[in-house]
Amino acid sequence: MSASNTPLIQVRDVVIGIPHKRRPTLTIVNKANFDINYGEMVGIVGESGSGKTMICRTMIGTLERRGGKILSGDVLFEGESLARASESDWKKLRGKSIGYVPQSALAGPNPVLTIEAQLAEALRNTGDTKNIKSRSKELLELVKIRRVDTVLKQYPYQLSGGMRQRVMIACALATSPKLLIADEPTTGLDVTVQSQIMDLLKEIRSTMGTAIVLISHDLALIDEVCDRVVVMHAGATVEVGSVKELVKPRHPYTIALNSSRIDIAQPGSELVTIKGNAPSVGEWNPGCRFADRCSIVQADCRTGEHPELIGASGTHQTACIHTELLERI
Amino acid sequence: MTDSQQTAAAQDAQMVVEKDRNRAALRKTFYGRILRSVIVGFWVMVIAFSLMRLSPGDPVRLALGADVTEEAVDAFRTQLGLDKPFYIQFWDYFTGIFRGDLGYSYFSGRDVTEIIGTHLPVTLMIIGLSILFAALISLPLALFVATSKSNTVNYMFRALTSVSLAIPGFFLALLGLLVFGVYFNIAPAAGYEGAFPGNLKYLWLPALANCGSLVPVLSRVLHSSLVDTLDEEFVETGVIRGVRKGRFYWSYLLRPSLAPTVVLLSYMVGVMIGGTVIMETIFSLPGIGRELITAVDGRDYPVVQSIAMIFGLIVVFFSFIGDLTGYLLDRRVTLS
Ligand SMILES: Nc1ncnc2c1ncn2[C@@H]1O[C@H](COP(=O)(O)OP(=O)(O)O)[C@@H](O)[C@H]1O
Ligand code: SF4
Ligand SMILES: [Mg+2]
Repeated sequence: MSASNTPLIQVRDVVIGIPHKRRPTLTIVNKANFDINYGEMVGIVGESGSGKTMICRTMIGTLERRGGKILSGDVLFEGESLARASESDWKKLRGKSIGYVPQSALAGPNPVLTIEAQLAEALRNTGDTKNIKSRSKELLELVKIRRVDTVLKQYPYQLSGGMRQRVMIACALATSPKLLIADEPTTGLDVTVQSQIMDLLKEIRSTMGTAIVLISHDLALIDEVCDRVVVMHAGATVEVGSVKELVKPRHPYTIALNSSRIDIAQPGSELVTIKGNAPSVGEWNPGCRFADRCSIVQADCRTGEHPELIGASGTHQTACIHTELLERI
Repeated sequence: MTDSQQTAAAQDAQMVVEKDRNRAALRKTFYGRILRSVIVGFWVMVIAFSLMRLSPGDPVRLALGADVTEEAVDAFRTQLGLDKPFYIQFWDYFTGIFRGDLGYSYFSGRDVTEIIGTHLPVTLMIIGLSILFAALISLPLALFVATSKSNTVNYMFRALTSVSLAIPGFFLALLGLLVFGVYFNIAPAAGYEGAFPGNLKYLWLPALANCGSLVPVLSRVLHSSLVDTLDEEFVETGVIRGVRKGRFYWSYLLRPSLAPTVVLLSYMVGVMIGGTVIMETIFSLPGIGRELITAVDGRDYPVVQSIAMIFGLIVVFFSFIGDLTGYLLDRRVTLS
């Protein structure tokens, strides 16, 4: 198989649960499905609690230490299974081909280590321990940090949120990964800093050819910078498509997300917020988990399994069994 | 200058200011704590001074015994200055402090500075050893329990620390004497040798008995901080970077979690002094605590006042050391 037609990452029918000794296993993600191609920028959007971070953890090998487990399905990295990777496999994989920028800029860097120490750790992970200092400086310059020498000696608490997030991106890039995962990288940052970080990610993608997964609950942000979008709702992928394709969404949840957007609202029209909350983990009813919030819900939506993701046209896929009723919305 | 250069320069300036501010805060804290230490020492002394004189019991009669004439009593009272009014006595003692004169024991006539000089090191040694042992036990224990996924381990930890906390220190000391002193015969039950490495033979068991109440408190606080830390995102980055095990445990788990425990430990020095006084009595150790008990019994005013003042100084001093250590471990800690 040549690398060119195998996607970099294939998430296939992934079900993630938290096994418990006495209680039944708590299912958190049921079913996640999407691909990430080489050099592509993919956005994963969904409300808080929809399982976005859990999916990231399957790709960086920290699911287990958080008590989670892939119950079925698989995540393939360049065709190799990550679900079946052992801890010693992970030692070779982790942080090398896949870089990770954790959720929340404030809690990302280790508070008791200087920036220099953290970059050095990340650089040692490449196996090459020469010229750590000069390579650290290059990394900081790559993420557009000025006064590199001062910043190296500082502790995270002395840096602003945006600077911290740049440092985290620098650490993640230390091993020149093929994929960079940024989990809500701009939560808690103000709008100008947010757009600076987005510009930086775009630039990294175009100069280094790194594929990027950008996780956010903000569809507008993803629309702006990504090639493709994966929409998650209550642990399931409900819609996948290119940004162009998603201009005309084919899932009631995505449609609702779109109509609650301020940036593309028609002047004079009302902003619609999505009614209700997503069902919490452990409280999922049979059938479609969007049923309680859906404006075109039908009786058969509430029976059987959650709808499968099926292709509409091109790369556009939707998990809804009543797309023929979409005109009513 | 371009816009970005200007902002960079502005940020540079701000950084320099911030650095100076940190250093200034550190210096201010240092002097502040010394001042506070002195103030607390002073007030503890004032309280000891007043309470001793307000409580019943006449030091003069206690010192001279029963079979003395009234003249002798009056003469001794005058000699000690106890016939002077309260505030004059206080002034004499207070001004004496600045000349390094803490007075003389009514009983032995020994210089109080000399009493403190001889007996305080023993007490400090027990406290130091207690802290060392408590740290050596609590750190691995809390780390082991926090990283263990077993429910049994967690349950046992909670149960055993509760039990240990409920056992009084003196009981633990007596039990230790029985087991290590009598049964295994590896700890002397009495006696003492003053010089440093030799005296450890007499001090390790009392220090260990002190740990009976220290370890449960410290390990529980550390355990809960560790559990919080384990949930933090930065630990995830450490895992992903494949940081070496030793470094991971220290830099990613312990160091970010230790500050509250260290601060608590330093604040517990006051409690430890209380525990150590009991240990000194049980193990017949020539510490300052035993001197204090004897002095209180005999209404030996200068000795009691001075020791109380020293205790006040020590407690505040240790709390400063604790805050400082917490800050050095984790710069997020603010020194107030
Ligand atoms: N260890 C755990 N035990 C129980 N529930 C968990 C655990 N970890 C995560 N969850 C739940 O799984 C859901 C998905 O979490 P997460 O992936 O963090 O969502 P997102 O990143 O999309 O906000 C949340 O509802 C969260 O409460
Ligand atoms: S399957 Fe039914 S309930 Fe679910 S989104 Fe489609 S129409 Fe709505
Ligand atoms: Mg998340």
